Amino acid sequence: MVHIPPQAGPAGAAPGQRPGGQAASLDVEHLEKVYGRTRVVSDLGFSLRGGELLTLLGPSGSGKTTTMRMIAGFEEPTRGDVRIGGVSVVEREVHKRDIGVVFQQYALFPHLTVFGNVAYPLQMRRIAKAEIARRVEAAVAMVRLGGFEGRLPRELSGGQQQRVALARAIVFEPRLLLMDEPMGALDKRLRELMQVEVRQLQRALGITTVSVTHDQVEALVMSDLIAVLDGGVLQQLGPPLDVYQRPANRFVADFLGESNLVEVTAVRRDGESWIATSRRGLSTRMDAQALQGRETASLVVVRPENICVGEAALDLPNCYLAEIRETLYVGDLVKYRCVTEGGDEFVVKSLGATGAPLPPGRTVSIGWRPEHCLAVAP
Amino acid sequence: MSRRKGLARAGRAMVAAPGVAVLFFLVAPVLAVIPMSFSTSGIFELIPSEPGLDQYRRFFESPEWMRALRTSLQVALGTTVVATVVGVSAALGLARMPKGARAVLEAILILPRIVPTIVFAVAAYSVYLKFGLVGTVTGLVLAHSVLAAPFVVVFVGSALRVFDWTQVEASRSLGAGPTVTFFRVILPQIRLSVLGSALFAFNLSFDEVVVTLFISGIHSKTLPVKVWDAIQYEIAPILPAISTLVIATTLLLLVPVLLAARRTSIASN
Amino acid sequence: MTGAGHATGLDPRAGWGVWERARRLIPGRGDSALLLLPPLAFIFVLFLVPLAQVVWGSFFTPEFTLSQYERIGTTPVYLQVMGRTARVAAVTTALCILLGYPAALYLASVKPRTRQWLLLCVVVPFFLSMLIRNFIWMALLQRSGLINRTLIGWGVVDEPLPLMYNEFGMLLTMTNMLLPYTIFPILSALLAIPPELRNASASLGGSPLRTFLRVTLPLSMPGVAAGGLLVFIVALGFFITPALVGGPKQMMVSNLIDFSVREVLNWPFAFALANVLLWGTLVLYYVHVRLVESRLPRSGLV
Repeated sequence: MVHIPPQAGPAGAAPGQRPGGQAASLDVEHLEKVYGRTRVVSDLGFSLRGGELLTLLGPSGSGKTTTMRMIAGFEEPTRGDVRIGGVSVVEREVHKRDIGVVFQQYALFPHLTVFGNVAYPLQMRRIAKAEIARRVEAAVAMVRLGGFEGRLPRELSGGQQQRVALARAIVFEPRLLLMDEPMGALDKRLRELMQVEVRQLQRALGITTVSVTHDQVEALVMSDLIAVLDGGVLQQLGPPLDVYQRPANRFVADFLGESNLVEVTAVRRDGESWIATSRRGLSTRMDAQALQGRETASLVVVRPENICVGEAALDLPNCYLAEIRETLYVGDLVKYRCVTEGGDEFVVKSLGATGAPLPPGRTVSIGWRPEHCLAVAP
Repeated sequence: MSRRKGLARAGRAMVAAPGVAVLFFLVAPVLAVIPMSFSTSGIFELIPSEPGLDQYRRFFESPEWMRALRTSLQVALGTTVVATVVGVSAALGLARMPKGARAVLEAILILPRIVPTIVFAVAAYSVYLKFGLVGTVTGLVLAHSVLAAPFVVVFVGSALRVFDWTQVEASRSLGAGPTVTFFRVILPQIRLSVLGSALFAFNLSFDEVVVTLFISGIHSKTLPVKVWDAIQYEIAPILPAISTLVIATTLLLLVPVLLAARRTSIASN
Repeated sequence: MTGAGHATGLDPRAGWGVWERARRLIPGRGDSALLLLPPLAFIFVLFLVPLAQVVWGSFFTPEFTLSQYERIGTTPVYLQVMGRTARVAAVTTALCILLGYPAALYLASVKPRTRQWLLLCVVVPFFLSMLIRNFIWMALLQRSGLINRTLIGWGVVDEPLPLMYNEFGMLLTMTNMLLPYTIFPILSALLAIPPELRNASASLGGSPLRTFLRVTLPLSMPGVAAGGLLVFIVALGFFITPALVGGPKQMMVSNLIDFSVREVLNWPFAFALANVLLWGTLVLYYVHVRLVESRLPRSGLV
């Protein structure tokens, strides 16, 4: 998987592409949705600059789809404002919002060909026939489906249908692109390919985009900003790096990547760094950054890939003896489930090891650096 | 042939015989009238002794019958338009309703099909008298549409059951208003059902007799009413010809309806 | 509803037409409500109001009175009509079940391809004008009709048989008209029976007859009940057949209503009769719907 680092602006121009400077910003303020007595989205707010991609990430029921639908106009917010390019759109009808939407099941028109589907929004805008043909061809070429214009949706594979849905959503150069679980219906291999492709396309066009997914890998790969949601409440908002390496709370730490959670009863200062002690007596050294300002922390997170096994662990400040209870060989990595003398359990990911994985029952040294031990909110 | 096979064959024949007999009972009378229509001898005979097109000629040359035919066609056409518009609108509205409300509203809209026609006939007649609608084409169209609309609602409704409604959201997000979305996205996909139910409505109106007996006037007699009169006062020999023509029209109208029904059931399967 | 203010002055609501304002009246279901309004109004004005008038007019002439209903309940002639209606409907139902079941059984036993074509024998007459079909039966059944002339011609009888203007002819014709109403549900029920059940029964020692009696027949009962009930309901309100084939001596409720309105001009009495027929039908139909919902297996046929 490749994470594409953000660039200063869209590289290369595609036909009909909007220059980065005109890409619309998206502001969401105090957005709320209440159904009867259930608060599906609570006081949500974020700002997205023109050309950026934000992912609404969360499990089902987190309110991410509802939020997207409110931005699109399919649902009316109980409270709050949505502004595109600085102009509020909450009062505006869906078909007047100039937003492109890629639906989870694509929602292609089965009675229209690929050309018919992609041309549809242009026909709504009363563009001349010749110009429509030109733009449709360009959009179809951009999603690499050139030559498929005459096909009907039922004659296409899932991946091809997704590309048609994408072409249809961008052909009219909307100010905002919304994607609802765009990779949901694809198999793993195709998903990984499309994540990169869609991201490249979005970058090239410079369209402000909001994507909804429950797949944290997808979020990490594609986004400029991730908004983690749980139960309708925003848990953390930040670039992928921040959200992954400095999770704000237990939920985010657990949802993105894997984490080992240690309940901590005491935190005390020791010179330049801090020492946290778990209920079972395990002490770990953390540096100030890892503490994230939480001196009264009760939860500490160590990511499995940051734990070293065996000899490499010996020179680390946080080093402990642990017995391997379970070994999982996953090909490119090995997962160990270990238990320390005190009874704290840790999952360790060992990457790129050569030779046979260590068997269960073996006692090994495990350890991690002070900067890899994070204090998070419960 | 093994004994088992022989028994099985006999058994199947035993099951088949009464079934075939009943089917024959159903379809034979309908078929019988066709050769009867070519009889010129003035009596009902299955095999015409003097075959000819006399009956048909007399039908098409009679100004009274032609007037009745014209009235029937007018009313049927009007009914088709009104019933289809009303029915499609109702089906669209019902499709997205929550279950409870939907059941109640659907029941109300289907009532005309459940209530005995004679009851509606008397009700309509008494109201029409007050508003001077008796004997008018408008009155007939309205009454027939009331009877036909429920069928449109059910037929189009079943097609909408398998419709993917996210397409409507997609269409709106692409800039199409509600009317455009209906004509360019929904209608093309329910085309067959709409056509089928329209033809059904036409057929229903063309054949309707009970209500029409009450609310048609002397000058606006439809074909069925005139047939009724002919039967009551003397069985006119040209009736087999008229019957055959009606059978032919019904078949013509029926085939698309059946095709549409097959298509929707295949889609939902 | 809107939170923080609008950045630029343009009020998006200015773009709302009448439609958009109307749609917002009922949140979430505005579209559906707008679409349902004309049809509901249509049915209300042209159907429900006239019906209400019938119900009303049977009780209020113009003061409240039950005299019309008394008349129905006490006059022997009218009681006879009601009795005949119920009896004829019941017998027709029995006949339709007796004849319809073998037909449905046969249709269920043939290949689907064949079935499609054979079903035309049921469907085409079903859609054909009932008036025409009744006329055809008249042409068959009357004294100088096809059947009598054939019988006399073959020497089977000397005198024409009275096949019309009596209960026999009426029952025969009504059964012919109403057979599809039993054939469809019974066929539906039969097709919904998994074929493995028949195999299971055979493997357990059941002969074909036994299998039929103990497996097929019981499982198809919901279809029989639903179809039978439907025939009964429709037969109660039947008008054309009693009028044409039954004749004046075989009056059923609907003919009596017709007579009261068009011959005698006794509206309140007609309304009362219609009211009885209406509510009887509605109650029976409600029973039918409950029956179908709960027990009839679906095979996608009807």
